[in-house]
Amino acid sequence: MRAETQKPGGVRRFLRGYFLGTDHRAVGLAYFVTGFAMFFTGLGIMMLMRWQAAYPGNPFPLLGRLFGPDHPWMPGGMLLPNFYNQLGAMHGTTMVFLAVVPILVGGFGNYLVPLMVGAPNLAFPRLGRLGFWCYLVGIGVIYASFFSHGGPANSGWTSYPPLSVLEDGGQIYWLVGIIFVYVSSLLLAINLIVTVVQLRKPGMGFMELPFFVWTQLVTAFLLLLAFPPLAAAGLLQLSDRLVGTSFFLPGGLVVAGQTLDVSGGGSALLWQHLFWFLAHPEVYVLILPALGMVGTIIPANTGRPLYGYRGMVLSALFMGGMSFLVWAHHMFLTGMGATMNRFFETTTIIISVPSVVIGGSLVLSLWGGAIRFTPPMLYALAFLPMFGIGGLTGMPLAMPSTNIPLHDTMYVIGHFHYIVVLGTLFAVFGGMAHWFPRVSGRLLNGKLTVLHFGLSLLCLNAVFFPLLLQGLAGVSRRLYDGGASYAIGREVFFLNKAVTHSVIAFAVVQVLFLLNVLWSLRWGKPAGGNPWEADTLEWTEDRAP
Amino acid sequence: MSVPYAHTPRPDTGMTNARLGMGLFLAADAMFCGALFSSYAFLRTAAGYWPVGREVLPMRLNGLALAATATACAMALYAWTGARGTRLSTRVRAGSSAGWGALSLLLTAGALHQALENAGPPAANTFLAIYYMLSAVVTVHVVTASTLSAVTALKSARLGDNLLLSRLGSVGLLWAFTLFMAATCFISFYLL
Repeated sequence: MRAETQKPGGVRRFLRGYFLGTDHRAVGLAYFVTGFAMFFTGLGIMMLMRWQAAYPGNPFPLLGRLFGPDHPWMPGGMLLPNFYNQLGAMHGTTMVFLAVVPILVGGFGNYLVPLMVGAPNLAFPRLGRLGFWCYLVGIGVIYASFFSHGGPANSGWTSYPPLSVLEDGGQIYWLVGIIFVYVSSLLLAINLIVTVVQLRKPGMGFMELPFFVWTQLVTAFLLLLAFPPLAAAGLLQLSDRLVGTSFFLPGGLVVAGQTLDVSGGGSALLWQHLFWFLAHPEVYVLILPALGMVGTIIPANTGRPLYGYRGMVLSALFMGGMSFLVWAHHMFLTGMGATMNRFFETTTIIISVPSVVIGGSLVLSLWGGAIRFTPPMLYALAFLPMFGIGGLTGMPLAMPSTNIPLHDTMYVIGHFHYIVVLGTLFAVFGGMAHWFPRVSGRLLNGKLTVLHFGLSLLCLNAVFFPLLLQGLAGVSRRLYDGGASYAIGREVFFLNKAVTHSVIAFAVVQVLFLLNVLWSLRWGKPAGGNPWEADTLEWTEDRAP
Repeated sequence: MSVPYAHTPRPDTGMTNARLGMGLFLAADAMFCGALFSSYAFLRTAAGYWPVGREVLPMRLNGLALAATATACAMALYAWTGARGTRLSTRVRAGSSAGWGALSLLLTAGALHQALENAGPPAANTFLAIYYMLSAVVTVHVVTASTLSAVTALKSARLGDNLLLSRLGSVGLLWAFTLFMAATCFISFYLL
């Protein structure tokens, strides 16, 4: 029994593994723990912002006492507009770069891929550890900006110039931190690809790899090839801020009635092209591993293999490749011209085809199976319609005619979060419930897990569905006061309070999940060797967890 | 537990882990440099006026630096393909690759100094900004490749045959990419 073979734990042993371990499981768990810490940080930031949207001008409960009346960001616990902007930038940065990708690829990828391909470890164990250190330094630098003059970056997670070049806050910290995160992703991606290609069990062909490994492989290629342009853009922006160049500042730029003294010839759109060249593939980095997890949980709980495995693999490859050709659908508003718009509209619609093939195959994999409604399976089953809603709400954003009126509204927030929170996060919870026995030798408490599943599903739909409605009513996504001072969409502002209360309820439910994990680590039911009777290699490898 | 195929190639892929790792790193590097060259193209096509590089920048010094880089690359590849020969000759070839790299750095430093004196600092205009940025990126590549060549030359006596071949291969690939970068830079600023 795995639970019996575990060595006694201890803070010292944990810290040693966390900082110095080179075993892929230690590296994976380090990413996982840190990624989840960042997830809760990002969630906390969002709670502050949502409170401001629902109760503009009112201090956040309890924080009024913590922050004095002269505090520069939150006097008396009330968010100031600039700090609201800064929190918006930090929420996006934290969730995308510091939480979800590290959990999906650094955590699940590092821990599971070597086990699933029968490899003894990562191909470059010390590079795996170095990548984690770079990730930690990236977090440290980005969050150190809270203590810098002017506070953290305030030009959104997209860091659009000219604001990002001209603003007074911690944009330099953001840029340096992102470059560290880039190095971390690079090392992570190289390690995973080499592990799969070189350390596969002898005789294991590529079309015999588990679907989860395929999704990690495609994701690693996306990280490898899509992130460098953002690093290059970051370098150029650093140069604009530190050396006085003007890669992203056009000549004749007027700010507050003054013509700026810039050398001229730069273009703010250049940043947008370089940024979205990473950031759209990044969406597939966020969703492909989730599809891989659901594609592992479903066969384990239906007793039959995936329907159309080969088609799913080819779709994942096609999706990965096409994701490099769709970036400018985020830029329809910039007036690129009808030809460019048509090209990116077409590629964006084409990329929905492999998503439908994979989603459809997952649904068809249920057909005729002896379905067991285990806790991981509940999350996986919920993922399918939520991913569907996220995908379908994306279709109007693929076309310029509907994208332009919706682009700057809450609709985009709702669509994106249906994909990444109700989709990816549910897959992550499902993956945690599925592989927790592999890691700890024990099962998560079933009742608490089901309770967490039901409440999270309810709360998150109560958070994001109203945002779709607000967006359709034309509510902008950048309102400091939740729309109190605007005329458009007044009939749907009442939803702000419901959304805020649902976010807080969701956060409380996550405490339940944390307690469940901590309780089950010590007192959970021993899982046995293969509790889900899965046929992937990680359950048959006899290495102790 | 030791990691397989660290020093000997895997039979079905024909590569060591390091060789594949270096190939992937260079693919990422190509995307990084590609983004910078795309920025160059974007800025140049959008600019109302773009100076002629030959008239503003030190073409001769940059040309000599490119020639030194090409020689360093040739020596690195020669060291790799001829690694089955004696250890001494391998060491000499890898070492001379590092030496040519150092000469290229000296010439680049001279070119940058001359550009600063005659054309102005990076903040003067976007043309100079992208010139200095791309030159800096090429320089970082030359420094890295020269250092790796020197380290490989110094350690070659202590490395086993397979490990030495693997390292020389990785360094050779890095030099080839560096030469490609330097040549593209030269063509972009002086010939186009």
